[in-house]
Amino acid sequence: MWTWNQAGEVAIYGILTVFVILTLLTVLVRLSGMVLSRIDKRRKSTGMGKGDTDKRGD
Amino acid sequence: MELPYQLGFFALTWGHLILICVGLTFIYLAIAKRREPYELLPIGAGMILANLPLTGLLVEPNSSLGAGQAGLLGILRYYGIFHFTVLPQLIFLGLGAMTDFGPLLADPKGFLLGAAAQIGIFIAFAGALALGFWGIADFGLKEACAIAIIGGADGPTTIYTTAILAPELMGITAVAAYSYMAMVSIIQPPIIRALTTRKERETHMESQLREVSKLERIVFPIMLLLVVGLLVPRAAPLVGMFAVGNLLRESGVVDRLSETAQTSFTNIITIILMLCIGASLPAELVMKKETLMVLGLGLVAFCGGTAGGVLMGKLMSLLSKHPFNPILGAAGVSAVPMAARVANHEGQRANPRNFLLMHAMGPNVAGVIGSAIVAGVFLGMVG
Repeated sequence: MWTWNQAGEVAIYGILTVFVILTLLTVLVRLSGMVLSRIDKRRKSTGMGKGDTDKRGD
Repeated sequence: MELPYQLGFFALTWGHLILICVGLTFIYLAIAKRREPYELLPIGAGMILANLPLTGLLVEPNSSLGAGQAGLLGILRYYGIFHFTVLPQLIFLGLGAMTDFGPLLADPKGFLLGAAAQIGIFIAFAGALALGFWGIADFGLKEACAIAIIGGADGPTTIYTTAILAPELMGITAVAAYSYMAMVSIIQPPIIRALTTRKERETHMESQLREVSKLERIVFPIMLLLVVGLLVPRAAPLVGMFAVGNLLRESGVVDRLSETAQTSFTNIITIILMLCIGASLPAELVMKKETLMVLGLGLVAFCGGTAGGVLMGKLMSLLSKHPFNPILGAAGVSAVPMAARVANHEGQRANPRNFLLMHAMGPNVAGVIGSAIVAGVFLGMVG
């Protein structure tokens, strides 16, 4: 048998978890976007990234 | 003299006939109306097979059966869904390989819309528990979670969660999820129009999103895998496979694997999984009052999710420095890519200059992650 307290816990924990994780991902993606796009630009300008997409897993 | 009793015709009940007609309707919708054909066609075929009496197709394997006594659909269901739940997880690998996270990475606000659109799940959760509490239906916590997850508008997540928490409801929750996904263009527009003003819907957004670097595309699935895997371990079987599939796609070094995951692999799993879903709808399980309640609660979850997303969109539109169209919130209910198309269509209807599709794809894929996280929470706390 379940109680409304248990159900409330599941609901509140579920809502909080989905908001916390997706907010965390928002922040992480924004931060990593700033850092990684700079790294990518630098790699491209020095020619290090050249040919990256041509590799194949043979 | 025995022959007439071996004819399936004499064992047919009204329940079988009704469900065979429903199966035929699904096949009609798939072929004539092109509504979710990859899902509805095999589900319809599975329903017909499941409701033909005396075929033995649904007999599940067990130690007391002799050789050749278990039926094909029974074997596939037992090993693929109920016992090992591998099929929904494998589908997630294929979905990951097919998903372009670019729009979400370019504008990560989409994550918040994806989170808000999960509200419908919790509305249906409360509704299912209320029905159980008042003795109207035999729903406990596990059943409520399985029914509520329909609001995530994500078939494999619904199948995975229900197979673990309430296997007897799996067929009907999966069909509800896929049916409502097929009806997104009918369900969502009235809710969007009711919750937004014409001026809000007309809001024009920049049509170009920033370019996302290859490095960002590679790092994101790894980050997703680590964050979700560590914070909600029970969501990892779905989100983890999603991330792995996406890594195959974005790495750029395993094109053959990525292509296989996107095509043959996903197609094979889809055929088996959808046949199993259809086969989980025999008349004996479906012809109950609870079925109508599950369908009703699923619709409530879907509508609630759309409303939650749109209301979050309105909030973001108020707080944003740049023009932000609240319609995008409706795309947070997964249903990729139909919900994004609906958002785009509604935007263009209000303002023909609007082109919201790429903006809507962000919340759309965020919704997939959001519903898998909620499923992980349900499995962790109730499973």
